[in-house]
Amino acid sequence: MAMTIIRRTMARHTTIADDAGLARRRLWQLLSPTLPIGAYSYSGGLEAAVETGRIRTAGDVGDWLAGQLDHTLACVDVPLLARLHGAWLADEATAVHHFSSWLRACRETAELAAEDYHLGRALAALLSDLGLVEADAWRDEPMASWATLFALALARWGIPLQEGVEAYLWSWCDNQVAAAVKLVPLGQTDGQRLLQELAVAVGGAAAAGLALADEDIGGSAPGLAILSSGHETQYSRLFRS
Amino acid sequence: MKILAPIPQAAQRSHGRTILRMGAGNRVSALHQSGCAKLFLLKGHAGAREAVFVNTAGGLTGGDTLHAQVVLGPGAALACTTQAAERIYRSAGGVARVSTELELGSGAALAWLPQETILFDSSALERRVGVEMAVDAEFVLVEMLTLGRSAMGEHAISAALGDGRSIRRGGRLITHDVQRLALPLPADPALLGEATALATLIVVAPDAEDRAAPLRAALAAEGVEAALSAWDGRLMARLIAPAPHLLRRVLVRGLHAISRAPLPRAWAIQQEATP
Repeated sequence: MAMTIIRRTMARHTTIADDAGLARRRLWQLLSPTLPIGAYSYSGGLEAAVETGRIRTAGDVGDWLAGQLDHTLACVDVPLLARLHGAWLADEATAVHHFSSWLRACRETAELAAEDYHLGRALAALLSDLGLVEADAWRDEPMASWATLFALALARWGIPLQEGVEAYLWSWCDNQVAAAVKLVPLGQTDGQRLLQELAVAVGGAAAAGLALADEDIGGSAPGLAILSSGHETQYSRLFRS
Repeated sequence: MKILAPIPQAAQRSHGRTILRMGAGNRVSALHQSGCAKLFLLKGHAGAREAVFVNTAGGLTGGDTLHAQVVLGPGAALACTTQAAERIYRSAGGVARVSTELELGSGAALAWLPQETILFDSSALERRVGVEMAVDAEFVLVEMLTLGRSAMGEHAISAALGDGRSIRRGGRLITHDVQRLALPLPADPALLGEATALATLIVVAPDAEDRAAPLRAALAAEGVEAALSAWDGRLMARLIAPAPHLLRRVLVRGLHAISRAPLPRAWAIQQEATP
């Protein structure tokens, strides 16, 4: 059971139930870059792309991110996140494991698989500490995935799936842009411009992914896989992936 | 008076099916071939077996189907290849469908090494390989795709490809690798860049991670972008190149570096001369 930290009695400004508003604010908490899960130490292959000279400019970063949004995130992460959400809502543990394993099986390299696993476990620990008891078993689950625990939070905190999916994609974009600013490097304003453009792309990727049938799930990015694999033997690295 | 155009007859499509079952001692317990699909079994040195799949239709187009099933019992060992490169022709409607089911019992070893698939302009292909293997079995796969025929001046072709490999080991899904290419793709670094040939090499075996170092050395080559990652008893390598012959050469070297068994003739020849 989560500890109540704030002792002061908070004034109640409204007696009307504000479930939708509360769900929205829980989502903002999930999106915060200060969420203590260590996402900042993963670049999802971006560091390798910069190291090999494949990414040199803000434009290159934009292409890199847009390519993945359309070809992997929309085709793998989004549909499986949606199915995980449904499985949590229906309290079907077997289905949750099934979709989590499926998502992990789509990760193309050791680093990308490890990133997913570590972020998933970290989120499991955090959600468990925040009172979601079901997250506890996932702290040590080999097939844990970030999306699995993200879906649990969406389901238990009453966050609508559409917004949740967009938030998942946004969080990825935000983390990638932060890494790009550090690595390329980019100016802060360029980073913000990228986010402005990605906001549009996220909508399309979410819609496309949510419409996919089971047999259409899957999508690989060969260039990403090659760069991510190469990162394993890169001489000096700031990031774990 | 209006003259109505005749209703077009549906063109005769090709369908082929092969089934091969081998048990202990590489004894063949079932062999079936029908339609345009043929299957030849060759015996090599020391009882090594090679299965050669043939598509007598000489290629595939929209609406054609090819299905192969290979079941290896405990301890059986087999290398599979195709007689020729598979040509996926322009589709007049529909998708060419190729599906392969592979089953490996305890201690079995299967190498799935078809020759390359060439996508022609305006082709559409859905290809799936599904593998069910025991935890101590060994599976090797190489699949190479050529996008367009450069000799015919086909660059940046239009084509639709769904190409997937799903591997379950001990009943657990460990790899779900699906390539979806709606060609032409934007030339961006996460995808294919300027490549016109791509290949995937997969090893799932108890000692897969031990093969990473020799394979990494074999894959280093001018003009080919390749890298591999090995973890959890599996190894996955991706290769892309602006020309198919460059890729083929590296793949042959790579297969020699990781194979524990004789390679089919089509892959055994190492060409050193530059074209």
